[in-house]
Amino acid sequence: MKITLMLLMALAVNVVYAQSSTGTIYGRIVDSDGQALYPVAIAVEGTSVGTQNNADGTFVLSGVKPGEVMLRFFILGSQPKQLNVSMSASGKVDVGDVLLEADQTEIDEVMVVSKSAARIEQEKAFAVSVVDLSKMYNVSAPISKLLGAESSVRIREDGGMGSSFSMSINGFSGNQVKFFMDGIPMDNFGASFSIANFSSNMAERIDVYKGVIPVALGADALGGAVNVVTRHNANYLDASYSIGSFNTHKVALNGALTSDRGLTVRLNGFYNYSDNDYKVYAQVIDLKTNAKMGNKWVRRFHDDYSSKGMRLEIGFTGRSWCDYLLLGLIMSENNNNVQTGATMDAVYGGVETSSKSLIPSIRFKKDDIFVDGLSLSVYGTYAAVDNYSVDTLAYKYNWLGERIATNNRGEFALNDTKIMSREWQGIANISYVINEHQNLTLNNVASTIERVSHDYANPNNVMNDIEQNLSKNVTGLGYQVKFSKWNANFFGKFFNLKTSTYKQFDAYTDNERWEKVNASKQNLGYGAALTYFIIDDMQLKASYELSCRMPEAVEMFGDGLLQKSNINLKPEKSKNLNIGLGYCHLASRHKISADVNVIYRNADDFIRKGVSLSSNPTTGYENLGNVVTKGVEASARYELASAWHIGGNVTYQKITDEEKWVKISNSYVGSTTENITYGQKLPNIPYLFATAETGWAFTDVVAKASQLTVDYSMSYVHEYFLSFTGLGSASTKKVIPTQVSHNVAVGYSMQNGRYSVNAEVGNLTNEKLYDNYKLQKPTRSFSIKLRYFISR
Amino acid sequence: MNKTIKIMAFAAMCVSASMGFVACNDSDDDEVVSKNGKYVVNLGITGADNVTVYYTLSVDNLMGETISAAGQGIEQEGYHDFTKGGSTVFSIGGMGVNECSGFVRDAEGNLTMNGNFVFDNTLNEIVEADGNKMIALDMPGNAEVGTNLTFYHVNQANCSIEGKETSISVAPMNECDWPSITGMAYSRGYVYISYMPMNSNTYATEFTDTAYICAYSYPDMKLAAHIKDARTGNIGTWNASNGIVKDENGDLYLMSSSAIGNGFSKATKGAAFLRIKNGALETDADYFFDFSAATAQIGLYRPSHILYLGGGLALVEVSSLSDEEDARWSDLSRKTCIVDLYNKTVCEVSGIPVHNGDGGRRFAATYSDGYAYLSIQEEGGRYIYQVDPKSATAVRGAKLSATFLAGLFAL
Repeated sequence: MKITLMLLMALAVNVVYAQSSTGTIYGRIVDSDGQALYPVAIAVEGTSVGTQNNADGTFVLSGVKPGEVMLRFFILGSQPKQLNVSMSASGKVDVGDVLLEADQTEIDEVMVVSKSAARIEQEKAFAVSVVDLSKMYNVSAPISKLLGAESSVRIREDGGMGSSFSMSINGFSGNQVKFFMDGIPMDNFGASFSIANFSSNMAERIDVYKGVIPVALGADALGGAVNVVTRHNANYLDASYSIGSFNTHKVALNGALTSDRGLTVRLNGFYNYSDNDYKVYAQVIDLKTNAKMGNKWVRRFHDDYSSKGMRLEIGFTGRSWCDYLLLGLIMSENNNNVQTGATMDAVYGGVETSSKSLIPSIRFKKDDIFVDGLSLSVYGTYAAVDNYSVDTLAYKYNWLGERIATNNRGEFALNDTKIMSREWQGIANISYVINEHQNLTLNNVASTIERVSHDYANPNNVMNDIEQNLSKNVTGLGYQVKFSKWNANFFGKFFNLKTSTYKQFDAYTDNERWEKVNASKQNLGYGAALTYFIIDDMQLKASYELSCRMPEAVEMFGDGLLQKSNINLKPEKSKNLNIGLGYCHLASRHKISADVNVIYRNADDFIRKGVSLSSNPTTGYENLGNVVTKGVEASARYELASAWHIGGNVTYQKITDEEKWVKISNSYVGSTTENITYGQKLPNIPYLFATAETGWAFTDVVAKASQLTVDYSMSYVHEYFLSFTGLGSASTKKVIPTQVSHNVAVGYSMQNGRYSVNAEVGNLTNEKLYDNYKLQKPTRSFSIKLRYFISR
Repeated sequence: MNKTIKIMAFAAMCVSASMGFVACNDSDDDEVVSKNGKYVVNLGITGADNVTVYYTLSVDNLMGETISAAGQGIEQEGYHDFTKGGSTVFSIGGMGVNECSGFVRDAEGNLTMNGNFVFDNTLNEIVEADGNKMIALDMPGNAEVGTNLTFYHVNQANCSIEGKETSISVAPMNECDWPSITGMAYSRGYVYISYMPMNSNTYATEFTDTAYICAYSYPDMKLAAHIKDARTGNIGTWNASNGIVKDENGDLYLMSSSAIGNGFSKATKGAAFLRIKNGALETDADYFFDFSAATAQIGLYRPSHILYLGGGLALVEVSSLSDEEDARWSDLSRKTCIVDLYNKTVCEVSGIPVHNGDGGRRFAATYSDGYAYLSIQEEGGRYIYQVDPKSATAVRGAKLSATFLAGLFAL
């Protein structure tokens, strides 16, 4: 294999000031598209000085003696390349963008043999699925949808664009799974700045951690975490517009500009709109007689959704004094008309929600700060998020869009509520490379959030303007040891929680008063992740974590008024174990990879409303339940150069209720009762699902440097029951039926991807699709996405 | 082993593994239809997911081994309430809607569901009126939500809505505080509604020293009388549909407990029963059953649930705790009594242990062939008890494989 190497000095060599007798060389490694090339090892010939570059291509090489030195660049699967640098005594040399360019005729082979950042991430000891978005920039689906193609992950949506969705990893969902952006917890960033609104063009990749979460992601996640890694290209513009069925429009604008002196501007912007007026098969009620008229195909009439947002960062990157220092601002908002309630039987015409977020931030990172091998990164955000919900109409709607006046305001529950949350968040990460085999990471995430709500429709609501505060501190310490055949991570996490709110005391007496109540809670979690390369191509992985989710203020103190407090509430806990075998073989034009993972979760002490035999409104939260998950997932993929690929995955998980006895609140005789569903499979959770995809790419079709792609994907979810399997007669059981959906896309791009157009058909066979019982998802849809991309 | 073989072996392993998972799909249980039986049992089962699902079963023997929904029973999701009218057991509730369906027996005696309609909102009460009709009430939860009542006329036979009355004001029920409906009954041309004034924001009950009932003419539902009686406190308790029972003569007996454990924030009067004579628009001045006095010797009980049996006898669940010992809504330390409403006597049932109550829901109990049946939660399980009202003795019957009993009817 012959690869020619071109090294370009894209920027002038800048000599900064002297600090010591040895100096530092920094720069960035890019390919011919200006995309960061990673991982590349860099060494100074004839010395022990060396480093590896970062995912954004940048590198900092310190401890270099003055004089003429030769840098050697090692890229996986090819011969080392070299570059002469004149190191002055003053100590700092910026070599700018170093271009490693492959021979055009053999570019396919280079792309095949070099591991992508996604693959590198995948090869870590953690059980992680990596969605490599750089291969999906032409698709119009948002990031949330793309996650659904991963094994063990289910995205469940109530409807079309903007409908509420939940993501589950091995059956864990809701606040048991945490979301991050570039390592920053984003659970309090608001409904508008959400992965359901992000286009694929915004990020490089998404890492989905299953059960065991690295120290650098500091959060109390019980069952997994999702980290969106945004694009780090120095100079690029990626603009796209997509138009589709149901009057759907999506605009995405992503770009970065970096000056010679490292002055950087990065922008991610989006605008989404949809009428969501697809047809559903739903029960129509005669509003005069209240009688059911049977199911009919009807058009959704109150479901339009819009969202817009941007993330702007300005600062410096790749400077001698910082790898980056960026000031950021996120602004986003959405408006959502709500069409249905818990099922399509409840149809609304005036229920609306909206959300606004304003989030300034600052972040800084520097490798080799103070001493070689020591890196520091810090991040600070302030998130001001306002959520609104309105349900004030005194009308009843039916699926024909007709309405009739009723005596009760509020189609579901009368409210005109504004919920304000204000969160400060600070993150510091220090890592130190002890030697070539060992490194240490210390990570700390401190956050404090204040929540206040006000219901304008119920001005006398005593809970109006009652403050709830929650401060969390998560400290993690990790140790990594790395040899060529194996590596291991050991980590411990310390969770410290402080919460306060106001609660009523001595109610209905002369002494009735509201007092501030406080509670704090500590918890320790730990784990390890190990991997061993049995042969070069085959990797064994094992990881374990004792994870937890800390209680929230409302769970510890109830609603402040009626609900009892339970400050003895323990965190939700889970023992998460993954064992996996991965195979990845790279041949000249072939790449084959396959993974099999076995999953075990044993979760207990779920924080839930206590079981009361009477409908006692004072029942507070308690630690209840024990659920065991045993699962297995398998995936396989084959790529023939970049001409053809085929892949798929299948997940089977058995999630059972292992609680034998249920504790009863307020009980006089006996404190426990038999758990009727002991040993049964948990209902309303998909347990067998699979996805498959294949795609062809033809180059130089019609025009030179063009590409024609044809992609097909399918998703299969086996039927599952809404309620426990063993109870009730089969004919009356509610089933979410087996579903198979197909998507097809045809794309054409010109000038090496500068201009592209992609046409997609979603739900090709027009199936009635449901993730949740009686909440139908969109019928067949068409969309076309136009994209313009340049980079240098 | 060369690499190609290894790749193929590995791929084969993955494929066979995934095939194996597809194959180990659970087979459905054989269906057991709800066959002929004497009783309809509505089981409420709350699972580890904290979701309650209801199963309606036809049961022939309440005194057998175990009554379970395993593989049988008609399944219903969402919150449901069950009540009987004529030969139909009505089920009201659902997921985000208030569907009404009726369980009836077909010609073979099998339990089937008929009729399907929805109420506009959650119902407060539904009771049998005359002429095979049901009358249902939906009242706004607070003044901000609305100020008018909605009455529905429901046809028992085909389970359909025949008419709605929407122009009746909540007033005068809201004259001291927002009313919380505690009971409803129909008797000779009038519908009587008992309520407790309860602040809809703070849940305080400041007006506990008077019994309040409104009577509406039937079927036009015009306000006929606002009945107040200061001899005892509020009639009925929060959310339990236990304010009013009707005897064979059409006389109404009104139950007042005003107990902390039944959801009052304060108790200012003793427990008592009042009477409204058939067709009257005032309480019977000649009738006052001082329940506190009648139970003073055995423990100053307060009634919390009632099932009328016949001949003036009623099965009554009582709280044996004093207000000082009791916590609001706690519904603890219940005993079962046979109460003679005519002769004003109370007799404790022997054979039933002191138990936790089912407050805040309808009393799931029935009277059939001379026996009353109810369910009691004990350590480790819930059991049916058969009560002989003549001897005031009880025998433990079948174990219920359920979290709670939502309804029990002879049908």
